[in-house]
Amino acid sequence: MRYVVRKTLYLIPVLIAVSFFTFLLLDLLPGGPEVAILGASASEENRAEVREELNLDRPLPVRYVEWVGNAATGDLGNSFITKQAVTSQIGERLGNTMFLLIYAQFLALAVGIPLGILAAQRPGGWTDRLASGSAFAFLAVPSFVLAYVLSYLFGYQLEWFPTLFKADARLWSLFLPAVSLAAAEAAVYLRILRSDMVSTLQEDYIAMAKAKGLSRSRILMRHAFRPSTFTLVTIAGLNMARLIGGAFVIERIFSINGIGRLAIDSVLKRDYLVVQGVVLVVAVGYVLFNLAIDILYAYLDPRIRHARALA
Amino acid sequence: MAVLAAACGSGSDDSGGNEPDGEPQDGGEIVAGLEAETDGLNPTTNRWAVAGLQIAAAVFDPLMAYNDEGEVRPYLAESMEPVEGTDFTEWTLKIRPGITFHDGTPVDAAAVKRNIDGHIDSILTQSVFRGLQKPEIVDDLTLSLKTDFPWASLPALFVNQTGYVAAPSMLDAEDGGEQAPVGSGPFKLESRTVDSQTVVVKNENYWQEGLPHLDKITFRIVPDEQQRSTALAAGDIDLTQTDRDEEVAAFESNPDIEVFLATDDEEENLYLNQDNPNGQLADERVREAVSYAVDREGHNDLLGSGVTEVADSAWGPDSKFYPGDSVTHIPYDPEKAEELVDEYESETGEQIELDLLTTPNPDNAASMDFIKENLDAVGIDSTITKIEQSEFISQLIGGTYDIALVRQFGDPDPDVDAVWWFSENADEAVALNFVRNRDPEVDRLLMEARATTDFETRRDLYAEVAQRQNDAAVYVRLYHTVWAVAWRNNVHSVTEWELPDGETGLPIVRGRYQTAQIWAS
Repeated sequence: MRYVVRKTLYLIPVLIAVSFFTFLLLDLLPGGPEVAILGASASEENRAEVREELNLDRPLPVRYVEWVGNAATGDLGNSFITKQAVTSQIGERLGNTMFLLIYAQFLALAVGIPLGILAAQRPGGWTDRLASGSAFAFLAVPSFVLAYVLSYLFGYQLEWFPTLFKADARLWSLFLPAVSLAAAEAAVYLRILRSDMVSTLQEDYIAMAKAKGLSRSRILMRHAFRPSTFTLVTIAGLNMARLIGGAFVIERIFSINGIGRLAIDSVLKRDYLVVQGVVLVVAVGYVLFNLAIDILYAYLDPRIRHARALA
Repeated sequence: MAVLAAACGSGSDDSGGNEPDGEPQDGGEIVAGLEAETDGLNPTTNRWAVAGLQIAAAVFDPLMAYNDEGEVRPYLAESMEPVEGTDFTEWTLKIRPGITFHDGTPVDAAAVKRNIDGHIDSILTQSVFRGLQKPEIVDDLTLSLKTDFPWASLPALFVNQTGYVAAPSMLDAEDGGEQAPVGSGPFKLESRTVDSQTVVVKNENYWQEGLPHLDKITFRIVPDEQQRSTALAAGDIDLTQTDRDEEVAAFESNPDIEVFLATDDEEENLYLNQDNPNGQLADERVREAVSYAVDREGHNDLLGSGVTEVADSAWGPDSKFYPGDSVTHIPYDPEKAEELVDEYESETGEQIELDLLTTPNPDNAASMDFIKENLDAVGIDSTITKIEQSEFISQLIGGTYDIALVRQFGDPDPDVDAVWWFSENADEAVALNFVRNRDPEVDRLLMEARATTDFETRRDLYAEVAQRQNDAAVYVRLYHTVWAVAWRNNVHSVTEWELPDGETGLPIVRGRYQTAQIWAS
């Protein structure tokens, strides 16, 4: 528990730094926020309006504190283009993106773990070579290419899955997008788990277990699997950031109403308050997610929490 | 790039898919794919490209519409006639009786006046109607319109964005009702999620008897062209439009899909901004150098997929305003371009540096890559910038670009396009003369053409306008584009439709199709 509290406290400076830099995004734009938002051709009157709305005449630290205060209560301002509240725009879309990311992560783990274990059983055997070979193939294919291929095959030719996102059939319509994102990740997980497991299986205690006559599946699952998952868990955590990057592209292709597409659309429209809001949500989400991974890590390997607690 | 409804228009060439489809059936719903989102649906404040126009065509009715000859006919209006003996400076606009908006309020003279006044006061659309005074209400259903000069083609300005009539309650709403449009159209808004979809449902009280046929249309934003084609083929969308030639080819090869092609629609141009930030394009030699440097034939061969023709004026061979060989364009001559570049650079001591602005669409990017190679070859330094459509339009309006790739012009009535050419529109806060070309002779020709209904006189005057623009290297005219509408064969009467008074309507106007008469089987 103390470990969790300590980890959470470490987060505070990280969150301050993340939010401060996100806030600075707008101020660092050429010509200042009002020019960035309205374009160089805007009238003085409109600029003054924006300056007032964003309180630009006040000192930066004061504005930052106010902005954080507002953000904490869910007020990230209004888009200058659609006039909608940034928080509600993000809120409407966050669920779809989270769903997609978790779906993709789930599929990647569900495919990567069993194949990794299978491949590790007999390194160099045919299952290992087949699994590792296809892993390389999937790693080499960009997710957007896979998205087009899957849509063509399973959407158009076979008509098994929709080619566009449907809000009322989320699980179904997000299958192809999730597979597009998951394929490369599954390959990574497979490779990592395989190599960690191969070395775990050479440990003395495994030899001991074998000597005791335990069944192969029991040795694999009970004795070798858990200690081989540390790297996998870390990588899976870090991969959430990569997945968000991939989701930006995949959401556009499948017309998914998520924050990735919102971010891209807003960058192209120069709707900076929305960009700022999305960056903040993604950054904070990422930090919190990594906290969760740290905690999970401690659970998987008791040495960590005890070592730190003793220190 | 389709820009602003006020410049919309199309002649058309039927390439199939326009066959009679039997007895219409009522009921059913369709999903229509759109290439991009519109920032809002207020005709007086939002900039509409094809997405905005298409949703507007479901929710609103226009005062006037084109028949299949490109002639202006009444739609929501019952009639619009010049007052005799006033030389087209006074008009009487009558509105059809008994029509209500979706909020139950009447479509009457006051409501139409509120819309026209809104345009006259709008920073965005005021230059379209410069010279038109605010209308006077004659009676419940009649307005009197007065203009500062003879304006024979005035009715054509009520066909597109500036002709759609919104309910006063919408226009008067705090945010201008931009995301909650209320019109008198065949469909009313059910829900709208920006950047995702807009759902419209049947207007049970629609004034045209028996219409609309469909219960519901979902306008779905599918920005990825490749996926839009796949989705149409797979049946996840039923109907879409495109101006991408590759997509057209894919649609035409699919037996489940019908395609209508309009080949004399807009024109793809390079706009050379004469007020560009570094001031170099103000020098006619620099503009001419760019014009000589661009290999228009090569560009068309590479990007036109064999369906488009190189343009010399704003009107394609299928348009009745096509001037033929009487209008000439600066030819491809890289040596001449190099000479001009050398002359300019040695005289001013500065290197020519120009930015090429376009939108993040693969065709446009390929187009600009080609142009950049042309410019590099004659010693003009260039960079390419890609930005999203609404921001792109802002830069055109604000004049903060050097060279932009713009798809425009080609309205069945050239007077609708005049707004882009008048000198005074170069110096507005919202400047619709995007290239900032100020030529009093062009102004004079445009005013003369506007004052007469004699077709041949008008055609010759517009040819002169095009020639003067070409001589001053105002635009590099690349090619006449195509717009295609494609639909699955369970959808009918998309481009074959009738005006309220029984004439056949123009199949599509710059990619926009009508919605009331579509039915599904």
